Parts: sequence; structure tokens; C-alpha cells
Amino acid sequence: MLHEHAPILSVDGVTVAFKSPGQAADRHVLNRLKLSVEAGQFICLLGPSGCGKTTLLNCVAGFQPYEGHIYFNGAKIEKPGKERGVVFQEYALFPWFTVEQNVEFGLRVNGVPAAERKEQARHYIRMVGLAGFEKHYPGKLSGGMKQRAGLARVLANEPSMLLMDEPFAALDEQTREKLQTELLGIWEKQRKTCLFVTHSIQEAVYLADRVIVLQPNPAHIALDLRIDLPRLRNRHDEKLLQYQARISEALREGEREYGEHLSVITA
Amino acid sequence: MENTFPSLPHKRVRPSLIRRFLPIQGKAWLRLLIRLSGLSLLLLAWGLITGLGYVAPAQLPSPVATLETMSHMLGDGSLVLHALSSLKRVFFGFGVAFAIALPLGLMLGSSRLLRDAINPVIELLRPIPPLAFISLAILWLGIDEWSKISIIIYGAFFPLLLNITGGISQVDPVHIRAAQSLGARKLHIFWYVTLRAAIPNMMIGIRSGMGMAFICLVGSELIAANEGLGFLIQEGRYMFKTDQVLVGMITIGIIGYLINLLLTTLEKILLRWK
Repeated sequence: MLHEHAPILSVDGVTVAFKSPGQAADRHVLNRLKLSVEAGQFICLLGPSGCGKTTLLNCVAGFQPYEGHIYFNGAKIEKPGKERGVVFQEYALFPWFTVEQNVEFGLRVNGVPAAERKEQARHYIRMVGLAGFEKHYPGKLSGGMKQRAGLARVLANEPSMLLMDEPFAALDEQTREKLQTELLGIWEKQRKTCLFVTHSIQEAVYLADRVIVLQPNPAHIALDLRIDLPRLRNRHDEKLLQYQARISEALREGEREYGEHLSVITA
Repeated sequence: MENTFPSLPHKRVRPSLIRRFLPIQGKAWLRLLIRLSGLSLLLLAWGLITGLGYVAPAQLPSPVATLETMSHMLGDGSLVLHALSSLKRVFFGFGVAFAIALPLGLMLGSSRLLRDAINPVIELLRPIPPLAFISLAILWLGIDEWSKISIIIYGAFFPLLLNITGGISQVDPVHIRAAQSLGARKLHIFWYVTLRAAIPNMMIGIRSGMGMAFICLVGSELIAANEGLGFLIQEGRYMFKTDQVLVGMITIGIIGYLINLLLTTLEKILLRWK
């Protein structure tokens, strides 16, 4: 048995460097990053574009090779696995499968019998509010419905952790807010550990137990903030706005630092 | 609340020329009529040219005479025999080309290294028209069935190979990632993702490969054939039976059209998700 407070995910000394053309030194996207996540937490990784938040998520998903250690439930992450379900910004639904076939996919490749997986798929399709669209192909769905299907596909596989890479970034504001609320509804029921990448402060404070602000070059944690407010939160709540102010302060400081860093280089 | 928005200025859409003269709108049979009009115009021009006596029947027989020859050849069963023997060559040649191109295309499509190694060979061979290989085919394979089929195989092979390779290599990496993180293993990914993602390109390869097979057919039957639609055209030329030449050509046209129709239907079924 795991220790009660043992983290479900621990990131330790993780470095990712990309070769940059025409330069001797590699560009370090992540440099000895350290982070640990307790089971059941809803974490938002927040930061400007290029800060390495997606790279970190890709390391955890097993898509991105890295130096250092990432342990998930005590096992080192080396490749993608069904216990870490990924929801993609670009939905990544298989266009040649219907909604139902998409949701069944994980169960099918993991050898779940047809009758059972059909039932389970229907359950999750209903959960994300797509009942009646089982036989539709993704190409015929709106962006919001596509992401619902993407979420159902991951949930049906019953992962122990959800990795979400700016899942609502491509949606219009109304749809985004609706999906945020529904995601929380599902999360309250399942209490899965959730690592959610976003560049929206409002989204982060509305969703997360804990907001981690990353700053670039190389990525480091500028702020690790617990949001102690009951859900569902009022988007205009005074306290929520205070959290937002603290986060944008941290982001601005990073900008200043980065600006100075740049001026040193150009000097 | 009442709708108080001023209505948009009404824009008068000018009906198209055809619709102004024909009072039927958007009917299926009108579209059929339009589709047939081009064909009728061609037939009319053909009939006029031959009917007014500008060209000798040995150069271009009239549509009626051609139709008579055609119905005669259908009646005695010879046209069907010729068509069948040509179809056999086309399908056999296409089948062999597909059987080679599919595994090779799958391999090339999944390996960048292999692609880089093989591409120069393909790019060098591809522009050589299949008919240029007739001499070699006769030298190597003699004048029997195999030399004819080899030309068809060669012709159908490159469109198939290039499109299968292209389809396999252009699979969206995010779909592969998604499949992996759902627990799919290599074989699953190949079967459920790569292969299906490649089907649109594969269908393009199949259609253009089939087209090439027909183009090569007539040329391949230049090699000592004694039956087939290409042979019909050849023989007609030697014997000044121009009507027979036309019957051969028209039959190829009709068969090609029907096969394309079949493939388009297959494509619609396979790609109903598009």
C-alpha cells in the first residue's frame, strides 16, 4: 500500500532541451523542474505560451522524452499509458469512427467484450451530454460537442489521472464556460487527479484546487497557489478576483524578469 | 417583443439561362437532361459531319453505322468475348500491381529512411511511359499473356504505390498519441488508425491506377494479341474497318466509365465519415 500522503505524481529534476538551429547551446524548455501532485487534486498549469506547460504535460503523458524522474503511482513514466488519459486541445477524435466507436476505442483495444463496452460507452456518452449523437461522425459535430466526445472517450477508459491540454481553448466563451462547469460536475463525482493546462487565469481559478504558474526560459514555478473556495464558484466572487490578481501579479513579475533577462542578452 | 429589424434589401437573384427557358427548378431529371446534352451535342456533330459527306466512311463512319456494327458484334457474342479478355488482363494486372504496391507502400509510408532510400529510384522510373517498356517486355517475357499483363502491372503500380505511401506517411501524429494514451498497441494503431487514415489517399491511388491500367491495355494488346478490345482497334486499323475501331474505343470508354462509377460508390461507402 502507498503511504497516505504519497503523491500520485512526482516530477523530480526534469529537464527537456531542444536543439536550436545555429546555436551551440540547446534551448532548455524545462530545467530540473520539481513538482508533486496528491491524488484527487485538480491542478491547473498556467503560464504564457512557450513557458513549457504543454511540454511538461507531454512528459507526464509519456509523449516527450526527458531527463530526470517522473513517477506515477510509484512507477517511472516512459511511455503513454491508459492510466493517464489525455484530452487534447485539437480533440484528436478519430474522424473515421462514430462518437460511440471513439468512446469504445480504449475499451476495445484493452480487450473489453463488445456488450460490456457498448454499455459503458453509452454511460459516459450520457454523462457528457451527448446522448442521441452516438452514431454521428465527429466531422458533423460542433467544437464543444467534439470535446465532450473527447472527454467521454477518456473517461470510458477509467484512467486514474486526467491530463488536459488547453481542452477548451478553441471554443467560444459561452461553450467554454458551460463545459468548465460540466467538467467540474463530472470531476466532483469521480475525484480523479487532474492536470489541466491553460493560459486563462479565469479558467484556472474557476476550476483548480491548486494553480501552478510557470514562467519560461527555462520553465520554473513562479507561484504555487491553493484556491480554498468551495465549488461551484461564482465567477465574480470577491475572493476569486483576489486570487486572479495575485496570479496576474506573478505573471507580470515574470515578464519583467524575462524582459531584464533579454536586455542583458542584447546589451 | 416584436421583430422590428428592417428587412434586408431584397436582392434579386438572376435565374441562370437554362432555368429561365426551362420552367422546372432543381428536378433530378433536369440535371440528367443537362448531363445528356453534352453527349447529344457530340453525337449530333458526329452525325452532321458524316451525314453531309465531308469525310469518307473509311475515315469516320456515321454514328448509325457504328451502332449497327456494335449491335451486330454484340449479337454474335464477339464483342463480349473481346471485352472479357481485356477485362481479365486489366483486373489481373491491376490486382498484381495492388498486391505488390500495398505491402511496399505500407513499409515506405512508415519508414522515413526507406522512403529516402527508395524515392530516387521511383522518381527516375515514374516518368517513363509504360508503353516504352513494350520492347523490353517482349524481349524478357515473349509474346504471350505475361508480357501484356506486365505492361498493365507497371502502369498501375506507380499511382498505387505513391498514394498508399503518401496516405500512410501523412497520418496525423495526434491521432497516434491519442490511441497510445488509450492503451493501443502497435498492431491496434496500425489497424484502427494508420490504415483508416490512409484510405482517402488509397482510393485516389486505386482510381488513378485503374485509369492507367486501361490506358496500358490498348498498348499491351499491340503485342501479338488475337483477342481483346485493343486487338479490335488494331485489327480494325489494318483492315480499314473503321467502324470496328470505333466500337473498340467506345466500349473501352463505357467500361472505364462504369468502373469509375463503381469505385466512386465504393469510396462513398468507405469514406461516409468525410
